[in-house]
Amino acid sequence: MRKAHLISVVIFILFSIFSLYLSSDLPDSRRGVPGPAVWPIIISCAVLISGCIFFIKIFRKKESEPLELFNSDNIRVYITMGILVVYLILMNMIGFVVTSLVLIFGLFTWFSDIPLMKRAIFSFAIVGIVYGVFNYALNVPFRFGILF
Amino acid sequence: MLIEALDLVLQPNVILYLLVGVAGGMCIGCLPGLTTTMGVALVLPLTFGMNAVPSILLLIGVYVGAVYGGSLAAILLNTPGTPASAATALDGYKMASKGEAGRALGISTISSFIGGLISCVFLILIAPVLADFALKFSAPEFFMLALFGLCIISSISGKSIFLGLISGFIGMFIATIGLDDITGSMRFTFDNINLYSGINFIPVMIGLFAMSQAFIGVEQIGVKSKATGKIKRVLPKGSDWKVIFKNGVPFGSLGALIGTIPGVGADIASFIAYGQAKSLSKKPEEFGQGSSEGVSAPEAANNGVTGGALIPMLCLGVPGDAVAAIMIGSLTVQGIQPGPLLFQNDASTVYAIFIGLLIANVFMLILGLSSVRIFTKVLSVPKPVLVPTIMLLCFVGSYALNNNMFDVVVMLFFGVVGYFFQKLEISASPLILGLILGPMAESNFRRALLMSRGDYSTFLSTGICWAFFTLIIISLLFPIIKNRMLNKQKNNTHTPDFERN
Repeated sequence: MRKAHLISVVIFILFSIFSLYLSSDLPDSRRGVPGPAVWPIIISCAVLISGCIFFIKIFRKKESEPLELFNSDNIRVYITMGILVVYLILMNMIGFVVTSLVLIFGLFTWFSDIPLMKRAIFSFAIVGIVYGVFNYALNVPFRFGILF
Repeated sequence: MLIEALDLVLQPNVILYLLVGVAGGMCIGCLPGLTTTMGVALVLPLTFGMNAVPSILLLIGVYVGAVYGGSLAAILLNTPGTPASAATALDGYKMASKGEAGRALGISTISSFIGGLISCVFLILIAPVLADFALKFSAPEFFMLALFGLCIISSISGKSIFLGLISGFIGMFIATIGLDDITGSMRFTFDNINLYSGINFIPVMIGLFAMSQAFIGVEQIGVKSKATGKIKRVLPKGSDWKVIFKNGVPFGSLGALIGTIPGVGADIASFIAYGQAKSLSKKPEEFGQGSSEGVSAPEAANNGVTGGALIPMLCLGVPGDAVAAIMIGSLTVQGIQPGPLLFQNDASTVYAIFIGLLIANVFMLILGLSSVRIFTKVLSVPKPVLVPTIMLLCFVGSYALNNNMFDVVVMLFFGVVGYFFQKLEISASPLILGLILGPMAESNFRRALLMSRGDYSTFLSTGICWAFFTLIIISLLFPIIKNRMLNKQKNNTHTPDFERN
């Protein structure tokens, strides 16, 4: 956990330095009245200070309980994240219903040992209900992609 | 005013939304891993096409139902459906193991109802007075209020105050993206048209609270849970009523009071109530062994929080917790700005919320006593079916906000961020509150300096400002002092061992 906290706080510090750099391009205060740059600069400085204090605090601390980020359960999550990114891209190109059916059926198959027929019925029912409620009842248009 | 509000609430569709909201909330709450915030975030997209009153009442229904629903899983599975019912599990599960599952559920239902009812009374009595007082606030006071809200929430949420603060500051920074309201300059948009109007906090919330929770669900996909105890009679017997009223009224009031403090949620309230009930009980040795008082006190307190948490949201526009933040989002989508002026400009909506909260608690009581066996069936929904469904709802829900794919990208990004935040024990609530309070803080900060011609002493120019300043200092120092005292206590207990060695 200590190492993970150190890495995360370094990311926060780098983020604050980058945002300070970006904020410096914005118009500054005029006659004491703060311009658009002032608030982001204050926030970036606050992140930087909090980050530095936390870094020193964690650096002095002894190793606490280990943080698992690369065991089989975590890797399953990372693969799911990747699948969702691919789903997002394909949904835009192919269409909502087809890609969602493939996604839901695929995830059911991966995560469970539910019989094939049940998986198919669940997938159709869930996508059908979601599409029906949002497209027809709530008028959310899903008109994108080359298919349906 | 009251008649106008009653007219708004007592419509068949609004009552149906409330009923569906409470029932849906109970289903969400009793499923371990689905938090109240996640439930409200998932239901939020359904409200985009509705009017203001039905939409907010649907969310209130889900909120009340989910806080109560958490106790079902806590009692039957020993796995709290929501963090708010963790204290209930200590004695509720022991009662269920002894074959008293129905009795425990009955005590929990009626105590929750009493807590909810007291929180309604608190809301009705305190909210108008506080809103009236808040009308005296001008830009410096609002800035200090926003700062106080952020500080207290950051210091209470999560394990580290610094990580909480960083999370809140990042939220505030994200809120600066887009067009600057005062000068019209573009900030951090990188010529991306989707960023011109800023990042909407609703996809961020869906990502942080619902999608990240779904990722946690993927991680624990193999974990199975089995309900304990057969539910017989749910309605409490004679002696239980005494316990319910003895604990329900004081701890419901305690919960309502705690709920008004921004950042202190139902989970903290229920543990405080549990501890207090134990110390006040004539039979403290029974706590942890299946004590009815150990079920009644935390349940009254956690449902007592529901109304209390709405007080800072409605009166000051400051969300008391993450659920209140989502409700602010819902009201904003409807064009209603929570805050002191809401009581003047849209009083009927405010009173409709009061009445709706009251009715939601009545529905919770009726459903809890009559259909608890049906709701416990939800516990058997397998995770492999639930998790992909939640993911699909997150995608559709964030798209439905503006029919824009960019919002889906934002949701997915913050879903990933939320997952790592959970792994690193960084609370996501300050980020959302920073996102909401950031614009309020910035606009009032700049407006105050504009009015005072750049004089920074304007932020300490009134008594209210000083009061907020003192509260900010206390809220920042409190966790540090508390940690030091705990460390000192630990060292004191270790010293004799060391000396002996």
